[in-house]
Amino acid sequence: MAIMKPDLSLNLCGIDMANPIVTCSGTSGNGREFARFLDLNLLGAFTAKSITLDKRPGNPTPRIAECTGGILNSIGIQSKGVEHFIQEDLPFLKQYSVPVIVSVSATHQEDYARLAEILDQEDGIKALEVNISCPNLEAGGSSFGADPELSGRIIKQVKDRTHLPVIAKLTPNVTDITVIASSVEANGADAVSMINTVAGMAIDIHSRRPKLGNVIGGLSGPAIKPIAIKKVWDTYRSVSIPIIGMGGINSWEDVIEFILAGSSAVGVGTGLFRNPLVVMDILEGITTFLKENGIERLDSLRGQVELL
Amino acid sequence: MESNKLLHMATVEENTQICADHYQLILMDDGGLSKTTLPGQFVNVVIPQRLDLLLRRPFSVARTDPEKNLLYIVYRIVGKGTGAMVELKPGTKMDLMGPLGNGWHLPKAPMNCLLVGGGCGVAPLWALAEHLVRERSRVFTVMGFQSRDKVFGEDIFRQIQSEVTVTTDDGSYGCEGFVCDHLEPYLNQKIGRAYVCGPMPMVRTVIPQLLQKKIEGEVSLEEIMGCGYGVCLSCVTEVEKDGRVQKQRICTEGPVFSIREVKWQS
Repeated sequence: MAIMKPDLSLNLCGIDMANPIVTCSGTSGNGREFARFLDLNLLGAFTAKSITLDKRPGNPTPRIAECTGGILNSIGIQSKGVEHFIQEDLPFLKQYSVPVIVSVSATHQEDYARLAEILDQEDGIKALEVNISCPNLEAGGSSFGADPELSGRIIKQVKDRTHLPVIAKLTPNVTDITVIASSVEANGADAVSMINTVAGMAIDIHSRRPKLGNVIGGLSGPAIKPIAIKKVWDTYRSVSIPIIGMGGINSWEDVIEFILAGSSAVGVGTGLFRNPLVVMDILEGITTFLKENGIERLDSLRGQVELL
Repeated sequence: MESNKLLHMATVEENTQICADHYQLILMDDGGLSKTTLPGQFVNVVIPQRLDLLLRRPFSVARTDPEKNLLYIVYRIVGKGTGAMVELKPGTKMDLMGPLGNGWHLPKAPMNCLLVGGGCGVAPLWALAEHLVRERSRVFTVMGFQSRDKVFGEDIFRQIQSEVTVTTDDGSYGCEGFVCDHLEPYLNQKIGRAYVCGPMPMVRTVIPQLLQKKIEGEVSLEEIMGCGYGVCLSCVTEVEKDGRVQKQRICTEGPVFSIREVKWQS
């Protein structure tokens, strides 16, 4: 039976989304530049670039290096601070009906709660994503996200200061991601987004210098997709909160794969650099796939990987 | 939506070697880029048939021919992307994003202009020289290369009616030495504005001479880019504005910066 118009919508921890596609934090700025290419309202949700309490200069250049199948970056959370975001960026995003997720980052754990308190006063934000997994911060960052107890404590402190849904962004650079996922769930996280970049390094053999100014960085792109799929699948079986799956998504096939592994929504990140319109191709591809397979609702595929 | 103005398809017309390590790529489009790109702006290019090269590659647009819908790119082979571009054959379709960046600030009235380019940095001065001469400015160009086999563009700039000095590091062609060693005669020509593009060691020797003579100038910078359209914050540089040092994106606030604002010291 042919389905006229398959349903891609979902409710993700209270956020009504027209489709499961969100932008990954840090890959579409704060909307202005990205909106020159794509109508933000076509997205399921827009995730802003991680903001910190105060201004941060970020890391030295070069900040990006292409590798086989992926991109190594070390931006280092360059941020103009939360006040600048509220005054300059949020009003722009509020012109759109797309749900806005605000990502927060910190090098001191108390700052997360402070950021939550400040952002809780603002209209136009549908959820907070707590970035406890940036590999590019000298302190904090993924060292928070690699520690189950600390991860849980930060999420609890954020939850105590906001009425907004809280999404914990998880690092893959741990032995067992499900331990971290369970800890943030137990402390009130409403969802997890995963995976942040995989820690990596590249060296120019001629100059013998690291290819990144910060020496080490985080790998994203197609190369990390199987890692992400595996961790989503592990996490899906360990927690009951929804998962925003991400890591190397470039096509509608990638999205279906992430959903079969257990993702409720998916993030597109590095793929936007090459093709800012990839989201439109993905939505069209998913719709065609669902029609051809007689599937009415995309979310009926969630976690439906079949094991023999 | 501007996406239809920023994403374009173009066809390779010509891809020819112009010196030991530089190629000239001529593309034809429907006018979307060739009729709109300003001197000093750039395009961000998908390398065709190379899905493994994930990022677009940014190239300054050397010149355009709006009447024939042509776009000229001069590139140097530096890595996998530019290495693959050498193989581009006429008729190949290319996916280009642009025009991106601010471009050179053009004088409102004719004046004496000094153009200083090093190596590949000569290319972004081409359209600028054409524009300046067309608008009746007098153009002096000092272009530096490593050696005779790497010299390109001298004939073009002479044809445009610019006065040209060519330098080579080893003295195998033109004047021996770096461009900074041969600016002096021009600096006394009542230069209204200077335009600089080249490797940072060259930029660092040229800017102090311009500042000392109180010549207004600007420099076009480059850095490895992720997106080219302002979202990823990879290509930042430090700029001092209103007494405050801030990070600006070369792809968006640049690539052209005032020599008074840009942090050029190493």
